[in-house]
Amino acid sequence: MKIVRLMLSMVLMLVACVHLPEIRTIEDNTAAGRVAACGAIFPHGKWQLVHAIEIFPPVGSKQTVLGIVQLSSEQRTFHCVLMTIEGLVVFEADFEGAVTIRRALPPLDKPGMAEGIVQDISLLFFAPEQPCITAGLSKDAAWICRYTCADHGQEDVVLQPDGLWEINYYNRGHRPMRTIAPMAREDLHAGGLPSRVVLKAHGLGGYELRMSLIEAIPLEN
Amino acid sequence: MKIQWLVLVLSLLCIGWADSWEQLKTTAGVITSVQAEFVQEKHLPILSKPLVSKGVFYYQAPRSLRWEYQSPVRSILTVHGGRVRRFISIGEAGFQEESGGGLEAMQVVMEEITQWLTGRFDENPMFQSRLEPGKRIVLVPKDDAFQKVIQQIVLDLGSESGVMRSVTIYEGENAFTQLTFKNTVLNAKIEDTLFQDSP
Repeated sequence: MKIVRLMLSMVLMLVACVHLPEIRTIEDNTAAGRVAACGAIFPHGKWQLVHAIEIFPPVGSKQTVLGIVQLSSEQRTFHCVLMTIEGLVVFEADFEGAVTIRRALPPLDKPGMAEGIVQDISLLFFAPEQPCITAGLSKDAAWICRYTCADHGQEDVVLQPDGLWEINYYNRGHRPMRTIAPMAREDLHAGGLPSRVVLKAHGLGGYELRMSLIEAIPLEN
Repeated sequence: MKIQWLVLVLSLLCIGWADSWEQLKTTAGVITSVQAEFVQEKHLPILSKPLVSKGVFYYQAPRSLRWEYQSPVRSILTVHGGRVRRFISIGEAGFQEESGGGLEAMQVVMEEITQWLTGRFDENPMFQSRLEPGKRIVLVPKDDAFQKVIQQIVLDLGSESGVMRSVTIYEGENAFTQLTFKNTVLNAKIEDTLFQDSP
């Protein structure tokens, strides 16, 4: 009985601790411009991007693959390929509102794996679909734009005073699930895309992706 | 990963060219080492232009190999004494060793190297093989599941004995990887350190 109470208390404490960062709204003429700046961190138009992706799994050694994504920001669609350095395609999928898997070799054929990859790519490259619900300053003077996601989670785009940015995705229980940030301020590729970006998946089974941009080609409409 | 290695080893072992399986077997045994530069082009329907990787490889009989990509990602795969190692260099961290399930599979493939060294391309149970006119070897996986990953592999032998021109691995419609070799050197002395030492 004591153990049950203890566990209940721990769960309640955990729940109580989970909340979104506070935002102090500011009523001035710069707010609209700053909200627009939040959307400007994402690629616009049609792009073909090639990254070297270092995958740090929750258990085991780091693995490096090449990732190719061909995306349209307006249509919110993409085609993605993951392949070994030697060129063997281990995963290929389309996203046009729904996921179509073209190829998935083990272990990427596990249930939920494709959806997870698509979710990460969407978070990395697509501006939030819904309009900003609130924006303002955080405790440490960063500018935050907050958006509601289709799954009722929340996405914060954080513009730091030093010019760096961060994307934080929280689930519907406000628990942090993903953090995305460039690795350095000066790491900008042509087109304003960061040369190196880190995606951290939090929680049990969490992992980290370090993505180094190899090629960014704007595509014709 | 296993497949990549298989193709790699096959390409190394297409040496001492001839026009029949028997001639291949007869002439293959004279090669003690191979080194060459390569250009790898990855063709996919979605790519506006192929993704190009460049590198060098070294092979020393009986079982030492170094397969090195110099761009766009620096990567070195070595096989020596039955041990497979991979090193990757990204950013400023320098080369870091990666170990994973795929590397263990490579050791199994390397066990077959002796068979291939003797030019017995037609004896690998994984492939249906045929030697075509124009010094071309076509390997088609026998297993249906394997064929969903690799449709066929085409090895184009050079006109010069012992020199491989290209290897093309077909994965699907308009999806293939082509390795083109140049500046091939046969039977030169290669330092063991190339296979043994970490970069």
